[in-house]
Amino acid sequence: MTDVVADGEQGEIEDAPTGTEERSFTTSLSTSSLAVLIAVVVGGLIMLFSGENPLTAYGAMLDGAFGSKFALGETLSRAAPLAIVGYGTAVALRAGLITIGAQGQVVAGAIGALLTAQFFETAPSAVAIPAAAIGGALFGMAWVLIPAMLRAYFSVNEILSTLLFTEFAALLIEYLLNNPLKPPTAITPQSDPYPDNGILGLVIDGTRFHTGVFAAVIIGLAFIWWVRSDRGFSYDLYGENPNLAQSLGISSNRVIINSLLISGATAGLVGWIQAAGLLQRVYVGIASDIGFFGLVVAFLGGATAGGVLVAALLFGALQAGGLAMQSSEGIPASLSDIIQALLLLGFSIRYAPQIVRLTRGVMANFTLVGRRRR
Amino acid sequence: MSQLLEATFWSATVAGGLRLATPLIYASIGETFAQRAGVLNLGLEGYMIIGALTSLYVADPTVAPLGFLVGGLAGMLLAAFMVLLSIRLYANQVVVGFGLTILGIGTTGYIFRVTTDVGGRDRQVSLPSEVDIPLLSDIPWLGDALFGHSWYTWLALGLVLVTGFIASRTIFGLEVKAVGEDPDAAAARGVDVVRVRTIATLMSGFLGGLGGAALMLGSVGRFQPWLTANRGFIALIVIIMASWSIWGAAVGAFVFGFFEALGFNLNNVFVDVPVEGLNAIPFFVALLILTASARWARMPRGLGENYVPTV
Repeated sequence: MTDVVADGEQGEIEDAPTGTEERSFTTSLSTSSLAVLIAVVVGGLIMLFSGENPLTAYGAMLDGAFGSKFALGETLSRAAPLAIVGYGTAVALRAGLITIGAQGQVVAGAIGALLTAQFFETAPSAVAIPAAAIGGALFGMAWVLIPAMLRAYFSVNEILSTLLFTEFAALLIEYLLNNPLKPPTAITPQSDPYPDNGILGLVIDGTRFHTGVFAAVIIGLAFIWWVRSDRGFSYDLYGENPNLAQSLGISSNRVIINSLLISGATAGLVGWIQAAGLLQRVYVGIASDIGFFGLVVAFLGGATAGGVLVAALLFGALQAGGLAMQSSEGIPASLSDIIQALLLLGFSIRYAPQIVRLTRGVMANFTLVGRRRR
Repeated sequence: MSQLLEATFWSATVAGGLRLATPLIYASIGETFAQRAGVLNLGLEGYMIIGALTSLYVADPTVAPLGFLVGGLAGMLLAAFMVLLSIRLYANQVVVGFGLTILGIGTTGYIFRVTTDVGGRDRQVSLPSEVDIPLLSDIPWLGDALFGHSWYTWLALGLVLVTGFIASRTIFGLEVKAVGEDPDAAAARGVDVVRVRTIATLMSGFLGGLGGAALMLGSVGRFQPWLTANRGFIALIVIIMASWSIWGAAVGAFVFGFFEALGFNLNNVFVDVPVEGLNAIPFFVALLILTASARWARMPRGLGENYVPTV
């Protein structure tokens, strides 16, 4: 518990990073298995209480997440967006910013990708696919630009402003898919099918494992590069101790705006892979809960490359398994939301040292309104 | 267009605004207490939705006031996790808050689906009738706008008076403010920081639950997953706008409710303007207010920081 005690004190860097990480690996492994165990047991108790058999339910869940080629494809195609959003959110978190706006940025990215793809409908795929990716990323960035500037120049809380922009995105996509983008024959709100030349094809037939999933690998590598780059280091420094960073000449406005723009771009890319790969059309619910759970994944993973990947795979499996359990056993898939929430709560008490450092940085930068006075 | 010049349009909008503001009033006055004490409850959304579902499930077989009360207790139960994890075990308040929001949405979604038979009867309650105040309700324009509301609204306004008094005129209110500004200094003067923060957080859970219950029993009547639709987070904006004042939070809730009602009602005036554009009005106003608040709002200095007693 001693490592958590320093949570309230800002600017204290008590461990040398290398020593911490070596010690942390075994402790974080044991604490995380404990948190997972608690979440699974409580989830089981909830099912028992509601008259279901937890063993068959968890069996169906495992089966739906790993039990077949199709199940694995579901897990991967759910984990990839979570990982991508998780990495983007992690860049912001490391800089001390909490954004839950990925939800809206995914929607904006999907619209951007679709419009770009429709513009390049007759171009060769080699042009249309990257163009749509860029279109999606740019729309995602555009959707976070105003919250980023408000945070930088007026210290407007980024959680709340990005949340409002998620509302705007939800209203915008509802309008677009009910009016200009809706095919005349469609009854429910949706877009035309995604143009053929921009589709991200399946890797394995008979699954939904599409090539867009590999974007998660590329973003993961880019994240590793970012963390090790000079700029990434200076952003980390800002996240841990904004006053020190500023006195070293790091511009706070630049850190805030750039890190939020990066998170917006990754969320926009997710909009693109969902539209061009998974769904091959744009629907109102295209973002499902990716935005919120992407933030959770970034937190759980301690905003590190490996941690985010593990958390995203775990959540992808839980969500794919939960839906499979719902259709085979009739037990609501909301159970996986409960388990995911319990995981987050379990990790919040005895998290690994890197999460302690992360949340300490987040609190050092946290403000609901105005600049923080200390 | 000419409807905009009619008094009835505006009295209906003001009345609708107060009705929509009611859940926000409960939620934001409770959360104001917690935040004044230095505890940030990002789980408010979770408190509200669990209060909404519980109130329905209790009120459906019994009576609405009982459902309302139990809804508040359900919110308080969820807030007890906040007390345990953040106040007692020093877990980060932001992380726990998000966890509790997801837990609230997940749990209510689970219970709702488990207990709802396909093709069966939906649990529902009939909406309350308006409680008119004699004489005042008969004032021509104001009577319609201000004095024809359900008891949920009247109770909310009554609670604003009571909690406003507690916050600014009692020892407890002073202690709340002290532990929110500088917990160490407060502790040095003999204030039990953990106790004050615990009470304030449980109040926030109870009132958040009541807010969800008021939404359910006072204006919706039946459950749907994620019924609260970010109202818990809107309450946070209301609190900022009010600069952590209880009276201000009531006004702020009304401002948001008013623009929400205005968005709805304008749909009948500007038939050609897309519905979605008009429905964006309250969120746009919220963004402007959030930005402008920096000019007057000052947040409690210890907000979000855990207090660790020095032994």
